Amino acid sequence: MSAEPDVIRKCTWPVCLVGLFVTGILSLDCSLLDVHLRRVTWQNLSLLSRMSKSFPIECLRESKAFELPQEILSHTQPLTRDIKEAFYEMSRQAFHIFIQDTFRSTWEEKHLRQVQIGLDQQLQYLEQCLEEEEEENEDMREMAEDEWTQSGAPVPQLSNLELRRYFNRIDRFLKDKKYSHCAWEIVRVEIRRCFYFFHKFTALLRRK
Amino acid sequence: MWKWGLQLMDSRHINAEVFFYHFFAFQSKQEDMKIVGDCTNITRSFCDLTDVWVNMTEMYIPKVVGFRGNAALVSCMGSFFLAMDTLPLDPPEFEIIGFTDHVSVNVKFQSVAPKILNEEELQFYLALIEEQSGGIVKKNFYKLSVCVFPELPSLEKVATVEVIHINRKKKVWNYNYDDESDSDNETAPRISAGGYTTHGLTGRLCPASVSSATLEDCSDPATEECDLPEPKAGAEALMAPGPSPWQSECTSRGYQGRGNLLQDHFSEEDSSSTEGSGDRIVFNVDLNSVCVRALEDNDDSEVTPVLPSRPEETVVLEDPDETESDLLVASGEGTQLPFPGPSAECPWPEDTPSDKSDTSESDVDMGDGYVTR
Repeated sequence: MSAEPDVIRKCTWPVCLVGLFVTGILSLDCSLLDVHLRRVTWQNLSLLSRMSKSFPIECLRESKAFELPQEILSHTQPLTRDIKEAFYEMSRQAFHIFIQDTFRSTWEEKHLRQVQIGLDQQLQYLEQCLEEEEEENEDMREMAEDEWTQSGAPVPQLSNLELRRYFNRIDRFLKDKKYSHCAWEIVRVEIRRCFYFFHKFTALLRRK
Repeated sequence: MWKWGLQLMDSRHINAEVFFYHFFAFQSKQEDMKIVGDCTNITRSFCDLTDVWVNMTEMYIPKVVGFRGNAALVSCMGSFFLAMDTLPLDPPEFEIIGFTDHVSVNVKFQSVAPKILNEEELQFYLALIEEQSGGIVKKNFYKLSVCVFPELPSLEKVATVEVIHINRKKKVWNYNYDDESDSDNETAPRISAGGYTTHGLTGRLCPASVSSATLEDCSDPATEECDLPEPKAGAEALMAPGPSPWQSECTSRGYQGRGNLLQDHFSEEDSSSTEGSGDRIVFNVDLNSVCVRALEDNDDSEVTPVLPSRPEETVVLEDPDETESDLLVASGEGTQLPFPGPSAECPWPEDTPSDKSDTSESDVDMGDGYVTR
């Protein structure tokens, strides 16, 4: 006699329950995406403020203008999807910055983890909702893109390219400064500014 | 009126012989310090920067230097990120000034500098309100008034309803026929002056035109900083460093800011529902026309402004680019900023006599009309 089938049966049901539970946690009503993004973005913004008591004045001389591409969200009629995609790109790039573990001596690790978790949460939300939107509105999106292009406005993907360039400047700055304490502080402040900028535009996600 | 500026808390060493110069720089730009024209060669250490610091996305590096003759007696530097390092703005006041074919509402922002309103936040949010309402809400920025053009609601919907709770069970006169009645757990509805029940709850009323009004559409006025709450679906968490988009669409009746949010009053009310039904009035409201906010336990933390630093915290003041003085006597007690925010430590000479007493760390009347916060 084998006890394995009994064990499997005993374990399957709890595993299924856990799976459903986890799925319930991760699934999101995308109609509330703007609310969640606004909250998570603000949380990340607050975390970045609290990671350091204040900006070290001695680091001021090393400050750099990274030229956050604010114009990407300044179009007259930004498409909701464009904003979401910009949000996704921003979250992905910021996550890449903070996932580097070369700065454990600069900040407390718990704060760093919280930032990483917050960004990961943003990414999950956006991935899910972008996929849903892709499936449901594919035809409408193609039409909207055609109109966008015909109007002479920039192609939406250009905003993601500008974002990548922006974060590439940040990443290169860190490498050039050899991930010094001041370099990380300057990057912290810059990304906080970026978060604030995006936080303001979560309201635009309400547009239907 | 909101004042941003620097004040040296340790004013014992301040006397008529010390003159102050205020500078600031943008953290993101490699530029020289800019001098604040109105705060140059002044006898007070405080400078009103309300109309100077208008960019909420920028981090400002302020600097104040106190001179006695040609000698820099004190030098202070700090850093401010306005979106996080300032106290929350007071909620605006709403005043209905007209009600004919449209509702005219004056929105008075009490604690925000005019330049801030002009240049960023208010423009953004008022434009958003106008756009999101599909043109129903028209803004008149210069008068700071907002006109709402809803379809005229019935009087019952616009009545003095102060409390709405969607989970509230409808009160039905119970002749004790039903043993399962939960009337023992119900409470007598409060009768407002208008003859409508209030159900003993607080909330905010949104005009009927906001057909899509949901929990997230009625946001709290801006308060800053928060502890990290548990993510809660549907819980409103709109925190903006300025007026929230939907404020002007909500009447202000009974508006008390966060203190007026929906609470679980049911558990706190007395169970006194056994009185006669003759005085009981059932009041039905179209829930699509009202705005309800469910307050979670942690919502408070999300809107509670967290002071970025405590008075005990100080920033080591260094002046790497000090060129205007060769004699910086760095000794004596540190000083602290009177209002919550990143502190600055400013060295004073030990033997400098003091003509003034110390001020407190809370609101301080500077005696020249300024109140630091």
